[in-house]
Amino acid sequence: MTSFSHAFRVMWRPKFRSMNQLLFFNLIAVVITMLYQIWQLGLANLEMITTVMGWGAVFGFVAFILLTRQNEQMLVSDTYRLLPTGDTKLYLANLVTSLVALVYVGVVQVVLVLIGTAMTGKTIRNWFQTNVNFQMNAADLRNLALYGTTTVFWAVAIVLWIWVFVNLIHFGTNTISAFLPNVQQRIVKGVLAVILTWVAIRFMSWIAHLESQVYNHFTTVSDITLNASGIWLDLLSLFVAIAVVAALNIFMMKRWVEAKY
Amino acid sequence: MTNALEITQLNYRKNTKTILTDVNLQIAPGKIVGLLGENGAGKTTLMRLIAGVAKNAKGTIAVHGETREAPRRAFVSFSEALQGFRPADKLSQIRDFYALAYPDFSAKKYLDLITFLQIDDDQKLSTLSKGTREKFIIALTLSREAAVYLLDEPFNGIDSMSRKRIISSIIQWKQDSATMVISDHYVSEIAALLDEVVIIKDHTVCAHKSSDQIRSEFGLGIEAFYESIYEGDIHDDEL
Repeated sequence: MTSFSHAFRVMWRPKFRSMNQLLFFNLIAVVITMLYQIWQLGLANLEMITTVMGWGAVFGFVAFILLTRQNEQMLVSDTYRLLPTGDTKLYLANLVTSLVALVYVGVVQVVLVLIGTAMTGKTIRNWFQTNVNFQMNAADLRNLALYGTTTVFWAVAIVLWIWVFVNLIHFGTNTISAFLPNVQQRIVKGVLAVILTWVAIRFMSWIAHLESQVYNHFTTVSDITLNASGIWLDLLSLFVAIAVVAALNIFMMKRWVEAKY
Repeated sequence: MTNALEITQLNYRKNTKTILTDVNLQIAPGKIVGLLGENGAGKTTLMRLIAGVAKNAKGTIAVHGETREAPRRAFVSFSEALQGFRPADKLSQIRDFYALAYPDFSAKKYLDLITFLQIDDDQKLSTLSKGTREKFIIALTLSREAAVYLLDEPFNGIDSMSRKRIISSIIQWKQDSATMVISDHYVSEIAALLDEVVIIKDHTVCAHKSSDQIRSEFGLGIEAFYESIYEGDIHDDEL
C-alpha cells in the first residue's frame, strides 16, 4: 500500500514542477519590465515594488488556476486513481499538495517583494506612511499579529473552499451523469451550470464584503482591535463547510466517480 | 488455495446501459489468461473494475481473497495509458513516480525491460511514437512484482517484429505465481502464450476454458474457437 507521505510526494512533484515553470516566467516578466523601466526612466528612478507586486498578482492568479485544474485532473486520472491507497488519503494528499504548492508560490512572491523593497521601496513606504497608523503599543502589535494570522487563515479557507466546491460540482455532475442517458445529462449539466454561477456570484460578493471589512479595520481604525468575533465565527463555519464538502467528495469518489480513460 | 481472481455475480451499468451482467469468474494463480471479445464487449470495463478504477458495480471482486478496493489495487498491475503525466515529462521521471508510488516496483526489472525493449528513458513522453509508448507502458506494468497483471490491448501500435519478440518473452517477466490477463485483438499471436481463455459476449463471460480443453473438446485452435463462438457455430449449451 502507498503511504500518505508517498502519495503526497508523487502528487507534489508535478505541481512543484509546474509552479517552478510559472515562477521562471514570472521572473522573466519582472526582469524585462525592470530593464524597460531603466531604459525609460533611468536607474535612479527605478521603482520595483509595483512591478513585482503587479506581476506577482498576475502569476499568483495563474498559479491558482493551474493548481485548480491539476487538482481536478489528478482525481480522475488512472495514473493516480490506480495508486494502492484509500480514496480519503488520495483526496487529502491532492488538496494538501495543491495548498503547499500555492503557499510556495506565495513565499517566493514575498521574497521577490522583499528584494524589490530592498532595491527601491519608495512606493510601499509611502503607502504604509499614509495608510497605516504606526503609533502602536504592545497591545496593538499583538492585535496586528492576530490580524495577520486571521488573514492567512481566511486566505487558506477561501482557497480550500473554492477547490472543494469545484470538486463538488465536478464529482456531482460526474455522479449524476453516470445514471442518465446522454440527452438528460445535457439538461442536468445546464441546470448545474446555472446553480454554480449563482453560488459563485453569492460567494464572491460575500468575500468582497468581508475583504472591505478587514481593509477598513486595518486602514481606518487607529486603535487596532480585533473586535470581530463575527469574522472568526464565519471562518469557523467556512472550515466546517470545507470539511463537510470534502467528506461528500470523498464519499462520491469511493462510490461513483470513475477515472477517465 | 486462494484464487488469484474471483468474481461473483458482477453487474455493471453506465448511462442506463448494461455493460456487464452476471459475470462469474475464477482464475487460479500462475495462469496466463486471454480475455477475448469484440469491440465494446466490456473487456476494458472488466479490467477497470478489477483494478478498482471503475465504480458502482454490484457483486464481488476478490484479488487474492481481498475484496476491498485499495488493498486490491496493491495486488494488481494495470497497463494504464499514462494520461496523468505531462507530455514534457521524461520517462525517467515517470519511472521515479512508479518507484515511489508502488512498493513492489523493481528497479532492476525495469532496467532489464527497457534494455530488452530498446527504450531510452531519457526521452520525453511527447517524443515517443505510439509503438514506443506502448512498449514503455508494458515495461512499467511488468516492472512491478504484482500478483495479477492486467494488460489491456498492450500491443496496439507496436510493429509486428517487436510484438512477436515481446510475446515470446513475456513469460520471463512474470513470477511463476503471478497471473496475467491479456486482452488483445492479435489472438493468433498471443494464442501460444495462453493457458486459459475467457470470452465475453452478450455482456457476460460466455466461455472460460483452458487451451488444452479447447483443443481436446472442440478440436480447434484458440482463434478458431473464439470466432466460432461469435459466429454462432458453437452454441451456449455446448460450452
